[in-house]
This record gives sequence, structure tokens and C-alpha cells, in this order.
Amino acid sequence: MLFNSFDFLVFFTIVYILFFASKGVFRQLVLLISSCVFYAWFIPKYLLILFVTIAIDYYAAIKIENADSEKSKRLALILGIVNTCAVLFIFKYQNFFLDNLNWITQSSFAHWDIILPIGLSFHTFQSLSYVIDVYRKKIPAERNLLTYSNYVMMFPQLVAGPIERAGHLIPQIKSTLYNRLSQSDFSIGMTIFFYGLFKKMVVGDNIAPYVSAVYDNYTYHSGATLLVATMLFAIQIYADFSGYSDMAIGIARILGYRFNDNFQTPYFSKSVTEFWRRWHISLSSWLRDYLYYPLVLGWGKISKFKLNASILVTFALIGLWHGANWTFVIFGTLHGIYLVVENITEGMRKWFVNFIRLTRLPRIHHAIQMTIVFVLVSLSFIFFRATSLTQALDILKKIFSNFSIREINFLDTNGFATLSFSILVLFLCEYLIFTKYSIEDIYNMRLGKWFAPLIAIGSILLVFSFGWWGGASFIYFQF
Amino acid sequence: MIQIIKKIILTLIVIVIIDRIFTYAFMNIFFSKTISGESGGTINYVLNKKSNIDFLIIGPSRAKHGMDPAVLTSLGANGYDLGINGTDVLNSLLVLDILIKHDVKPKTIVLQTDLSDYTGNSKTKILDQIKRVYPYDTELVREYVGRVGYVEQVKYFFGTYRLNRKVANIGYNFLKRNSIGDNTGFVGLPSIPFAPDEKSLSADYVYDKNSTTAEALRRIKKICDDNNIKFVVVFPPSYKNVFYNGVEQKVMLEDLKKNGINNVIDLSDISKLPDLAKEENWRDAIHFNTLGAETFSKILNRELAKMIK
Repeated sequence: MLFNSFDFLVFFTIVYILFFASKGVFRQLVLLISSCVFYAWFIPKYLLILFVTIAIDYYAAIKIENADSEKSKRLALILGIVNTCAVLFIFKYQNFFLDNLNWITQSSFAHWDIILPIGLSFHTFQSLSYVIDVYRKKIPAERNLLTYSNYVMMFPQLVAGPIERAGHLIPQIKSTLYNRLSQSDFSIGMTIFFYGLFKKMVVGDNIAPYVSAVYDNYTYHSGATLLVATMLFAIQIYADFSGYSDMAIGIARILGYRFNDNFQTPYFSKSVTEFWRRWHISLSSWLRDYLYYPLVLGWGKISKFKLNASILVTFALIGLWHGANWTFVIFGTLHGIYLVVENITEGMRKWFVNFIRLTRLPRIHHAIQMTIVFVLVSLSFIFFRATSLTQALDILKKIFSNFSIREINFLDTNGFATLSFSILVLFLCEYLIFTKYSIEDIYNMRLGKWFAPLIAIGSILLVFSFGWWGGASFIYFQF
Repeated sequence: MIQIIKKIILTLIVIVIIDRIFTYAFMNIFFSKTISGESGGTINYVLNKKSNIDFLIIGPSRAKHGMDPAVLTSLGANGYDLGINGTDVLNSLLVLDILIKHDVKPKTIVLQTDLSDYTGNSKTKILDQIKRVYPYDTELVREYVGRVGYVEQVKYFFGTYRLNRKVANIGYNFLKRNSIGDNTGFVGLPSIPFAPDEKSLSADYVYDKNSTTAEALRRIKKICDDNNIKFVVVFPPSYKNVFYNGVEQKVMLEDLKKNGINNVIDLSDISKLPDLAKEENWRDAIHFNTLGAETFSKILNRELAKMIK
């Protein structure tokens, strides 16, 4: 079930009424059943995978907590990690692994014909962090299976995040069992939801046909058109994914749960390092805590080489997390290289900026930095969007060897006018409002109770007049 | 709960008020003065500047780019090509209905259509066609909105939705309204440096006499009869017959005859038109380039002259 569908509107209205009409364990049941219905709307049988993962990780965490020796504690941790990773490997990476094995050994192991369970990468990471946090004694093991199931399966974040940590979400699930509905939660949640809907339907979905038309026929297009499509894809994926995150955060908020921000206007970043602090925050912070820090802090003394090598490994895995294809690995590694280069050249860049006295013009300096970040990130997205390495390299080659602004092909001028307008509105809103305030900040200001709903109303009207109503799915559902 | 319901109702009222004010202002200030573009501008052009014409061509891109009114002299001197890219006969029906409601009654209507129009019946296809004329908000449009379903009816209630994805285009065409000179609506296409695709598109075409489009065609016939308009149906050819299915074409023509649609010019089989068979006449497998359009228009003109006799 897509957030941007009428099915969801009906579903959520029913859930909302039942949720606040029930209390305690019944509320938990309402939440769990509605999450099952929401998930089953896609492919019902994959619910089984979720149940198995939940049951094993639930058991592993209790085992960890009850263990009387470090060895049995570790064994239970390994059980939890292996269980989750095995599911991820079998359903997501098995065919990728076989492809590479076939290529290396010149053998011909057959593919397993399987559809990737929706949102698998998200809920497996959520389960992993839970087991690891219990092992690290950051949180106690959850003894109530219903509560734990709701932590993993809560429908707003089930299929595309944000990846919530158990330490943040489980206490909320417990403390909201008897909550009454809150007007402020409702208003703030609705406003966040509709702003997300605007991002998705007005910006992301209007860009999508242009990008698809160019990328699907890239051999016919000039370097300039490919560059425009690549930059538009960078905006599309932001609008699509951050739009989804906003909708998820908004829905959760209406029910009284507070998810962490997943995006903080990332295209206004001054460096790629800052970009990753503001882009898909729940994933980058997850990998920072559970992969990067252990890599840096493990195996002896910290050195610059070790820091940079850890960055490269972490980002290669960020890439691989997105999809079982070398294009994604290169996408991630490219970002790792950006960060390493930024680290190495930090002093030199500061000296250069002082030398040309750009520090006296901070706004221009910021604009230049933002442009560089946007171009670098856009170029990396070529590997994200391309279906094969050959395609990605061909596109890059065309951009750098066959570039003439005169050859830009806008395809459908009407569609291009609409998408240009929608991008302008998005970035104006982001620059003027959301780089400074969140919707919650706005709501809590003087007159904010009136102004916040106006954002929702404006978003709805923009969706009506400019939105793409074709019921397009979300890009991140494939991960 | 009551407070929240009150809030929802208040928000809805505000949305409806803003929606109505915006739509009213936009339609009157911008849309009604727009006379170009595919968001209603070309229809407005006919309504405002071509209310007294001898003949009108309606249909999809194959009509827009393949039939030149200046060449179709057998129908009169004053014609207009109101072909709209990406449309089918359902859209042609709705456009004709709008014209008739505004008292634009040409002596002849030339409808360009293809077998492919009558092979499917999905709601998505209907929606794609009717959305294009939402700004006109006619009874007939509402009827088809009702057929699509209640969700569409709810959305249709909002004027801003009726202008969905048209606002920028209308705004742009409003700005250039003074530069639109007298024209015939025909737009010739330049050639492109790729050979037309020769893959057959029509192998699985099956004529469906119960399709919404077949029904639309019958309704066009009825509107024409009611308004004393001569109705001519034209089937143009395709490169190497990629769009042609002889068996189903025959079934379709028989059905048209059964429904009293007798003025049919069937030029769909390219093997009978050697002048047009060469690659130099084609932009792609289904669209003529300017040269092909002129040649085709001449052939069509001869056929029309025969028909009128």
C-alpha cells in the first residue's frame, strides 16, 4: 500500500480511529495487525520472513541478557546477526554473489527466481541494531513480543525507514499505550505528511518521466541532456525518498510516535561530509555506529590511514546496502573517495579560500560549496540510476566528451515547465523555511498554529494542481 | 476527537475556498485567453477564431502532423487541424462536444483514427483521454469521470485538480498569446536521422466493438447527425504496415458500416500507396515527415473529392 494512494487514506482513517479507541495491549494489537495488513498489501507471504526474523532476534536478545558467560552471550549475538544477515543475503545478495562466482570460476550456477521482499534492508538493519544494542548493554532486551514486533513492523517505517533504533522507539511504544489523541501531534503530523506528499507527487514524480525517458534511451541523447537528466535524478531521488520519510514521520506523529529526522535539507551542505550528516541520516548514523566506529576503534591505534580506509569500507557497504549490483558499490565508494579527498585536502582548501579572500564573501563561498557538492553528488548518482556499469560509463563519457548546451533536449516542454516550477517551489521552501526551522518549530511559534496548517493546505493545493497522479511507487521500496 | 474533526472540516473548507477562488481567477484571467498549446489552447483557438469553418480535422498526432488543411481543398477553403498529440477517439468526442456546446459547427468533421484505438478498454486509458479536457468541465466529461470511479469523482470536485499539470503550460501560452498568428493547426514534422522502426505493432490487435472508444465513435456520428455535420473517418497508413492488421481492420470497417458510419476513407494499407511507401516520407514508423504529410494530404484530398461526388 502506497502512502500516496486513496487505499492508504481509507486504511489510515480506520487505523487512526481504532488506535485511539483502544488502550494498552489492544492498542498494541491494533498497531501490529494494521502493520501486517499494510505489509501484506504488497506480497502477503513475505510476512512469514518478518515473523521468523522477529522471533529469532527476540529470542537471541533475551538469551544475550540472560547469558551467564561472555561465550554464550556472544553465541546468542552471533545467532541474531547470522539470522538477520542470512535473510538479507538469501533474498537480496544471493544472485549477485552467484553472478560473481560464475564470472570468477567460469561456472554456471543458476539464479534463484525470487522477488526481493519489500523493505528488507530497512527492517533487517533495525533488527540488527536491536540485538547489538542489547549485547552492548545500551538497552535491555524487550520481554514483550508484541512490543518488539511493533518495533520492527510499525507500518509507517516498515518498508522504507527511517531506520529507528530500539532505544528510541520501544520506550515510545510502551509510553503511548494509554495516550489520548493530541491536537498538536495531529496538526504537526498532518503538515509533515502533506509536505512529504508534495515532495513526492509534485517534485519527484514530475521529474521521473523525464529521467526515465533520457536514461532508457541514453544512446540517443547528447551529453548536455544526460547531465540535465542526471542532476534532475539527484533532485528526484531526494524528493522521492525524503518525501517518503516525511510521510512516515508525519503518520507516526499523528499516532503519537516521534521518529528521528531522516533528511535535513542536504543539498544546502557545504561539503560531502556534511551532506552525509544530512542525507538518509538514519542509515548513515547506523553505519557510523555499527560499522565505522568498530572499524576505527578496533585493531589497535587510530591512524589517518585507518580512518580513511574505514571511511572507504563503510561507504562501499552503504553502496552495497542499496542494491546487489556493482553500480551501487561504485556509487558508495565514490562517496567514500569524496570524503577521503575532503579530509586530505582540508588544510589546502582553507589556505586557498583565504588566499583568494573568499572568506570575505561568505554567501558566495557557500553557494560555490553547495554547487560543488551538488555536482559531485549528481555525478555519483549516475551509478545509482544506471542499470549497468557499461551504461554508467557510457553516460559519463558522453557528458565529458559530447557536451554542448545547445543540444539540451527538454523532450516534453509542458512537463519540463511543470517540473522546473516544482523544483523552484521546493528549493525556495527549503531555503527560506526548512534550513532554519522544522515544522514543529513553526507550530510552536507565535501564530504557528495557523501558519503550520497553511503549509499543509498549500501542499495539498500544489499536489492537486501540479502533482503526478499516476500512483508512482517509491524508489527506495526496491531496497 | 471533536476538536480534531472540527480542524479537519475547517481545513477542508479553507482548501475548497482557495481552490474555487484560484480556479475561477485562473480560468478567467489566463485560460480563456490562451490560444495555443495542448492544455486547451488549440481548442480555444478554434472557439475564438475559427467558429465559422468549412471543415475540422480531429484526432491524434497522426492527424496533427499528417493532414494539411491547406491541401484538402475538396472540403472547402477554410479548414483547421485540431489534432492533439497522444489522444484517441474518446478525446475527439469530448473535443467535438465542447465545440458544439460553444456553437462551433463546421460543415465537415474529418476524424483520423486507427484500429489501435479500439483494442483496449482500461480505466487508465479513459482517464488519460478525459483529463486533457478537464478544464472545460462539460457534462460529457463528468459522465466519463463517473465511469472511471468514485476516487476520480472526488478529485474532480477540486478545480485545481482539473487544471492538474496544465498550469505552467497555460501560463506559458498565455504569455505568448499575442504572437499567435492565423494558422491551419497543421504542424509538419522534420525528418530525424534514424530509420523508422520496422517492428510490427499490430500483430495482437483485436477490434473490440464494445470498447469505450468504439462507443465514442458512434457518439461522434450521432452528434454530427444531430447537427447536420458531414462525418468522415480516415485511416492513414504506417511505414511498412507496422500499424496495420488487415483481418481486424476488415472486422472494424464492417462494424462501422453496421453503425451507419459510411464515409470511411481507408488508406491504412501502405502496399496500396506506393508513393508513400518510401522511407523518405516518414519521420518514424507511424508519423509522416513534412514531405510525407503533403503527399498523403494530396491522396486524401483526391479520395475526399471522390466521396463528395
